[in-house]
Amino acid sequence: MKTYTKIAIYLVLSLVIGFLLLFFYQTMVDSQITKFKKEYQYACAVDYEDNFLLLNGWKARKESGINYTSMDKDRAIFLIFLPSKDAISLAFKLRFHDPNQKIKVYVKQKLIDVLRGSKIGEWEEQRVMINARMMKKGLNKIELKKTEKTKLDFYSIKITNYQDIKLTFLRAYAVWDSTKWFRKRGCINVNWNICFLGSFIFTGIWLVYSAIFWPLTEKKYLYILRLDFWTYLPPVLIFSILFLISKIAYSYTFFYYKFDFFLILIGSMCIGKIYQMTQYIKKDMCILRLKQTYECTIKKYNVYANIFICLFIVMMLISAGLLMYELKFPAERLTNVAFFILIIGILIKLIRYFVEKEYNME
Amino acid sequence: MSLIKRRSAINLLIIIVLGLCPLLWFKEGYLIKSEDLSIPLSLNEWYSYLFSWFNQRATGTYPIDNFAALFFLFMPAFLQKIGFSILSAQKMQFIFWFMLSGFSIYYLIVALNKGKHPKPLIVLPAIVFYMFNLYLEPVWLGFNIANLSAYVGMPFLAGFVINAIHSKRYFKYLCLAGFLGIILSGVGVNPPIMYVAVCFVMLWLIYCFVIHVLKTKKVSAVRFISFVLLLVLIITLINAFWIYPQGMRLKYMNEMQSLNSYKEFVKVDLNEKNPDKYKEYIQILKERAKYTGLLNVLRFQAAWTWHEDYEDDPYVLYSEFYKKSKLFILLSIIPVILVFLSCFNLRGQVYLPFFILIAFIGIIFSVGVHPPFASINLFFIKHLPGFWIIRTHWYKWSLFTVLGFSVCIFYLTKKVFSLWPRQKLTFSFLSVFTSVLFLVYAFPIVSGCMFTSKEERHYIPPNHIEVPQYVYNAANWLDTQDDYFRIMVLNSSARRITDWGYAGYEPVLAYFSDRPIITPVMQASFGSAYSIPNFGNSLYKWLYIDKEYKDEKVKQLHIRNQNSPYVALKILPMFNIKYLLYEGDLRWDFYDKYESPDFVSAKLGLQKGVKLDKVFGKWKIYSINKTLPHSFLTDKINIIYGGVECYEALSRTPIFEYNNIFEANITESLLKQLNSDNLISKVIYYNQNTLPAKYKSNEYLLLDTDNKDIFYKKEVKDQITGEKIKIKFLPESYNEKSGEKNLNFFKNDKIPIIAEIDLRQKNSSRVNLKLTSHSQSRDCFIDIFLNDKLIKKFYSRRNTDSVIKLEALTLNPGKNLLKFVANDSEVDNQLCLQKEIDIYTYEFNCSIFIEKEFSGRISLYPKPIEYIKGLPKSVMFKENNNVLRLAYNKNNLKYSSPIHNIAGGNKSLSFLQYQDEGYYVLIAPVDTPTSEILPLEETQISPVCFKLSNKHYLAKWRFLFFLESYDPLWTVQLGGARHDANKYETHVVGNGYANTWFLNGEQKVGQQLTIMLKYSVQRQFWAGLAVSVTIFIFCALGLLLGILRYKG
Repeated sequence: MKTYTKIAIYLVLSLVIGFLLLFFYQTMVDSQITKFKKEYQYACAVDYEDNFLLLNGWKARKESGINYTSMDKDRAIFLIFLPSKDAISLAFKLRFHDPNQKIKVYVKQKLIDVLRGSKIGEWEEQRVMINARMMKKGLNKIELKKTEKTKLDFYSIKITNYQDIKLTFLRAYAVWDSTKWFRKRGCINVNWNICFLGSFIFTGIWLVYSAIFWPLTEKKYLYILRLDFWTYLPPVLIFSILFLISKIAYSYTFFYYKFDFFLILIGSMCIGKIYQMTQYIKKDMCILRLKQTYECTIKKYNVYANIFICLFIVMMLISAGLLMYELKFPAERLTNVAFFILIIGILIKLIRYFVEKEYNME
Repeated sequence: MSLIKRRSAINLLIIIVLGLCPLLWFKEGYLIKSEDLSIPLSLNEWYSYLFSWFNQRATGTYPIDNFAALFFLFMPAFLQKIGFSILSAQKMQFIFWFMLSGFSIYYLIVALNKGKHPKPLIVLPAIVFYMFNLYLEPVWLGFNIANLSAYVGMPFLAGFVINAIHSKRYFKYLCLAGFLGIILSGVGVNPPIMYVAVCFVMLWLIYCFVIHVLKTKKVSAVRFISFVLLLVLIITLINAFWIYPQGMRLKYMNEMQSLNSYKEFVKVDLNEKNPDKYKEYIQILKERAKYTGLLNVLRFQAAWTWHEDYEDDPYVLYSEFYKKSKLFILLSIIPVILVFLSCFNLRGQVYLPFFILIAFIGIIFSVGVHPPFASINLFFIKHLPGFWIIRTHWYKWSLFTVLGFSVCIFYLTKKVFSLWPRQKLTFSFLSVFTSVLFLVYAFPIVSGCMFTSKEERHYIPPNHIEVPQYVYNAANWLDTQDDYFRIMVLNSSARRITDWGYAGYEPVLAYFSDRPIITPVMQASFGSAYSIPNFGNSLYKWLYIDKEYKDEKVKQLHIRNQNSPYVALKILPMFNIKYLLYEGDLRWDFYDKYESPDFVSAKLGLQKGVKLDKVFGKWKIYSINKTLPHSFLTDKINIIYGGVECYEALSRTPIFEYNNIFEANITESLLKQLNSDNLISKVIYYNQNTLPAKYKSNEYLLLDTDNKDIFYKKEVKDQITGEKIKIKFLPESYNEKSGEKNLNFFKNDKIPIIAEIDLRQKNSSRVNLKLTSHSQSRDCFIDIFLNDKLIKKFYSRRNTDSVIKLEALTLNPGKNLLKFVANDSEVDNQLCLQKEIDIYTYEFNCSIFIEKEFSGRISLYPKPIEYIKGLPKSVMFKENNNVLRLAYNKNNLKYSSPIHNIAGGNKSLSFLQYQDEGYYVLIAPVDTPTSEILPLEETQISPVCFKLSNKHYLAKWRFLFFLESYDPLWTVQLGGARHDANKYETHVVGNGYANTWFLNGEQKVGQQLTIMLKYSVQRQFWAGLAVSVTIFIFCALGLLLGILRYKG
């Protein structure tokens, strides 16, 4: 195969890898979820509780020092507060007194679930899951209807919008809402533009990294380019497998924390990179390049300090310009950045001042 | 004249000319005044600052910052004494401090220049920047003593250190430090500024140590450290006159016992284990740093007044201009650019790096808890000792920024002149041009337009004021009245704003009269020094207005409460209040709309013993026809179980006296001793549910129906009101089915169902109604209107009956219409009302325990809402199964039972509420002993020393009451009587706020008693002053010696 053809194939594959990485990021990293987990005591709600209100049909009771409420009437209503529209799980801690007793759970006058007691006369936990379409942000009304006249006691309710499952090395959480194959959670579309843009950026990173690595070796640039390409394959394979698991096995959002995603990405990538370095880096080339870098950067620190200070001045002038056009927030952000650049410049100056003992000079 | 002398003369002349700028700030005949800027004190007033007890406000207080302000405030007082007008005195004071800031920065620059006077045009931009920058705008608007002292003192101090090191004449600069210490004394007024100044000094000394001792080895470490220690010692000792008494005083304050308790007191919560309070504290800091973004800080536009307004009147009139003008936006960044241009070359500059660092520190800390440095500042707040004390960062740390900027600008100018010596003319022109640009950018400081005039303002008060003549007349009249008394100013706003432009926390009268004044206080996080201990604004609450509620409904109810008519006659004399000053020129509607003249007049009209005495222009002075001596003796005391809030209730009863001690203010052992010695006249239990019998004296129980721990209300049928009211639904509301008349269902056409309520009496009445709605398969809202005014939106639930309760409806005499409208689009035949309407009222119920049977009576004191008349002539009071008839006594405004045997044991008390009123319930024995008072002849030797005497002293007078705020540092010394040294006087809080001593000894010699009352902190002030004066004299002599030696 001709060299150019190979290069073209690699380029296309790098675009595909970049595309896939952004796709996996969007569909597997879920920081949209506002984790909500709250436990309310029924007894407290009788007095006052902002986010959990008992309306009709409840009566406060006390027994052996325990405060709880009973469903006084056949129909009882309570309100719960959700910070965002989401599917939720309600875990009741309740007590049945009648083996025939059932509780029908309604939301918006639609039957969601029917709860049956398994332990009579004892506190037990029963769970109901409610779809995101039935819920809204803010106060939601949940209605309970009991089928028998006998007592039914409630102690607490735990409301959560996710299921906390910690895997051994991935801090992943299951959520109640299922995700589609090519969509993000909450049926939000993947941003394909970002995926395309990411593919070009990734390709650029690949080319630049290779260009940085290549001078430290005695190989041709194209060779290094191809070599470097394979280091990006492991993360793509890992994410592909995790992606399939999250779609097939459970409704998981695999990475709640972006940090975990990047950890896997960089960690799995590094395996190949470390091999590259051990096999191809030449010591004398390293030393030569380091010396060159030192001459161009650290030794010329005063130049950089002056550049930073000048940059600060220019950025302040631009800020002033932005203010003149009433662009206050961009001006403030630019000033913040400019000031940090100034701090670096001044720090360099001060270090130079003390290191070179400029206070002694005329 | 040599070149150097000519140069320095020109430089000084420039500073003098620039320093006269404050003359442009004044308008002909007008004083400058702002909320924080005081009118200059007279010498008499200044003289009162020499004393450690400030009796001019409230009931006296330790003046926290008076001593430190002595030097600062002396000049205008002295100038007035020698014949200058108050206006001239203010002008000279301004010019003095303004010019001094120029001299101080010039001094520092000369020191940095190794003692050589730089050319005028080299030094001009730096001086102009230091004297004219926008940071000074809030400083001058508030005439901030601490800030100005630090602003002037810090450059001088820095210059002294440099000069001492370079010239090696340490002794000279130690002597000069004595003078500097006096200038810096004003810093003690404001602890945060003190902290910033101390930080500067520490950083500067560390830097000088590093450079001159460690790096260049110009000075030995021993010499340097010795110099520094002596410098600090001299400055501290020079300020001993305020440091010593302040330090001793703080030892006794509960809030200062530990740092944690102080932090709690000022609501600083850095404990992350207390997340809610910590979040609240951080939120407060964030709010204060709302406008201190980096861009604003760099341009000195971070004062909050630049970004807010009140009632559409911006606090700073030109702030919008600065934000919009392109030229001024450009000008705003020029100083920043110039400052950091100076950083290009640090070679050979010994001190420039320090001032660059200072500028950086100032900028970073000024930003406060605001991006991008919020986390840095939070880190320092948590970990740097004392950093938390600063809560308005930009106002404090900008001292660093301005100083750093000025010095950097000097260095840049100097460098530029030295780099291109041939371009002297060009750079001279540039120097002048830059200085002009600084002046243009800080034009509010130059022109004084930071002080606004009346024409420029439509709501916020202006800053140029002319005091009306009637103020002087009223002050003179009050000063010429006999006897000791206090004046209480009416209007419960702590901020006083008049229609002639005065704005401030001090009442206007305070500047022109020597009489002590009681004012309302703001309950800020650190409290108010001018608050009567334990009372706060209670006197205002009781006398005529209580508006401290966020809920508007509750606020209105409390404002409309009929207060006790005996507050002026009985309670106010307890504070020696003889006059009430109504300032008709106050803008009573500035913040809210409650205290209109008619309102105040009506409320005062209800008070007994108050009459309008004098009118001076817009001011009215009311007098109270009862006074109490400032100090007196009593034979016995009354013990009260409860809080000071009981006074309002007590004032309505005949058992109110002036010799009260609250049980919480007296030790158990003393109480036992007084009881066994039969020195207790009465014991009053306020809002307790037990009337014990543990004292030899009479015991009384006083209850408040508003107290929910004691009383609860039960809903009962209101038969009495029911007789006066006839309610019926209008005929068209009914339908007849199967011979039965029922109310119609609501329909979609929103036709109301109307009930007519006929009130058959001449006066308005408040009534509670109850009726039932029934909704079928939907939840519905019902809008309820009374006489066409919407009073309630009721939510009727489906498939059930809902009870509609309409409470406290105010009915007019005659016919009233109550309309019910279903507020739902699909209510057709789903919702209806039941035709029965019940009238109900509440019954007060409580359970108490009386330990022992006694003969007495039960009295009820009603607390009605105003404009409601029609309380019944008698009240049926149930005591267990007995019903007592309490008849109304119009003269005493109470219901009383006849005298009867009140049995011991558990008691259930109940009685009806008629018109939304409350009651005080007094259960009292028949005998009500009264205590005697022996007035004392009082001679005020000074505000901290009183001589009290009486020729008719008898051994029975055991208690001394001195009506100044309680302070454990007030001491008594008795003469003319022998006292057992083992049982010395016991000092407790009397009447809830004052000083009371239990004179525990035997009178042996004659009938004359002499008591010396002294405030012991004064000793510390004199001792501190002696030290300060001694050090000052030494410093002066040292300098004189140095000069003579130099000349010789």
